[in-house]
Amino acid sequence: MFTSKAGLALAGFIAMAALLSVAIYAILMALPPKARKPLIAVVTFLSGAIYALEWVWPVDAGGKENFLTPYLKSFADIVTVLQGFALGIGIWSILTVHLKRVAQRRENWGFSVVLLGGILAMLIPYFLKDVHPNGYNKAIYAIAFDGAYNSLNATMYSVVAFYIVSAAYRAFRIRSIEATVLLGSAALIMLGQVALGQALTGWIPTTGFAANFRVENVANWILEKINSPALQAVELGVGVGTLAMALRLWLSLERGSYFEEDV
Amino acid sequence: MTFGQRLQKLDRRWLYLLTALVIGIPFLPGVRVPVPAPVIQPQTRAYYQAIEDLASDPVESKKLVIVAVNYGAGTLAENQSQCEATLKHLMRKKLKFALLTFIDPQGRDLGLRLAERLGPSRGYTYGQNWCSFGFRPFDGVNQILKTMSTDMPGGVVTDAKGAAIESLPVMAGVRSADDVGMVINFASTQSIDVWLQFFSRPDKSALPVLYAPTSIMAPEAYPLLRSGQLKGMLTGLKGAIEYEALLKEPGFATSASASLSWAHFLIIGLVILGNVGMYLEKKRV
Repeated sequence: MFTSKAGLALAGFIAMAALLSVAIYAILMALPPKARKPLIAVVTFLSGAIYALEWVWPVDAGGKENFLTPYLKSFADIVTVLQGFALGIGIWSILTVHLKRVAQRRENWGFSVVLLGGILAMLIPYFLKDVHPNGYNKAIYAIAFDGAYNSLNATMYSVVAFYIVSAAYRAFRIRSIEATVLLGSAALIMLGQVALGQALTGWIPTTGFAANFRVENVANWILEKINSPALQAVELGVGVGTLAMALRLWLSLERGSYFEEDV
Repeated sequence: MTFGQRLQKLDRRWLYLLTALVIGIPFLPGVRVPVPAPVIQPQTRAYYQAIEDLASDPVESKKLVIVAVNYGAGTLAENQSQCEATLKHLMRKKLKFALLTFIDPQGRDLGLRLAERLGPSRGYTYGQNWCSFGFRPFDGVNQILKTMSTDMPGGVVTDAKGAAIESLPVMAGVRSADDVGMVINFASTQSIDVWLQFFSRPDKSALPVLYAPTSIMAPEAYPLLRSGQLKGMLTGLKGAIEYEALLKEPGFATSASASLSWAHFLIIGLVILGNVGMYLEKKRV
């Protein structure tokens, strides 16, 4: 059941999966709203239980697996398929919204044309490169991927540097003891991170007690002895919180506007 | 407006211009901004040494190195520099490796193209000495890594080019995590935990895991370094600069050292300027 299929068998399985999906959807829609929630709760519990059981169930004698382990890859594939649906819905949504905007000449419709053009400009070269991998198609793809997409992505991220400089200049003021400690440790770590900063204390010997006062060693000390335990404490708290949250979701105990809506 | 107020309220366009100049000038052709050699940090040295140790071990050096290319073009300056230097090191030591991406789909092509660029001149052929497992969605990666740890061909199935993973000579004899010598994760976002959670070998010696995050993510990894779960780490671009110095093979990172240094000094200088302005203004009032 969980082995790779090809050719007619693959087409048959896809058709059966589609039919099954339609049937499940029809059954869900036919159910009264009050019955849907318990059904979702049962499916959620069973899905979570598989992973929890696989994790705690003893492995076979001499082996590394238990009876659930071989199915993990198939469950991962289910997640991938679900993501595929989400991607499809996303593409459908973005196309309909922006095609409508262009068709009706609504405000800023020109941006929608750029967006749709951008999607096609990446999509078509990608498929062409895979279907007909000749030099011409590869060159077009290189222009789209390296020349446009990579460069734009890197540019967007690089802009952060300018905001960091501006924000640091405006925000880092010695207004309290806490701010002073923060500023002092930030400055020491920054100096310890770069060659020019390290050169400031380059005259201090690299061995012996005095070496502790070299700026890179001070920066490392702050990161290892102060930052590290603080992070571990935070992560422990986050871990316990995540466990509690996971249990609430798994057992369908979560409450709130989203979880109490009719389905 | 008083002098103190002026110091506190510099027009941000001047700040942007200064930043652009400080970062850009060292990259201009023919310009050489002097910068001292970096001090090699212990975590960078440990990173370098872990690969050296793997290569010098007659048994472990035959195993596969998994290189996780988990970054996009946004962090090319940091992660690509780290990845390029690491691949050069792996190729120098004749270690076989496989690329895998599970965070940013861009990473699949970035890693593939990088290895394709570096490989031919170093005698590395796709399928023979290296391969790419392609991209796997992050939401399913826990299960995939867990499967890979016990059944590598079953977890990976096909490579980035659609070929069955078992048909590649580089994957010959690679059946599980036991046949992996090392994992190296290049990351622009949190992704190291999955390797430690799902790819460990509890019944054997720990699988060496190396980490190369962006600078901003590095502080989060210090607990893992302290515990020994990470054998070494490259801290962003600075780590790549140090690593290139250890390899004695300068690349992009080394050429960016001056920009990085002077940009840090610019920020510190501006913070001092703002505080002097505040002090003068307080004194006047």
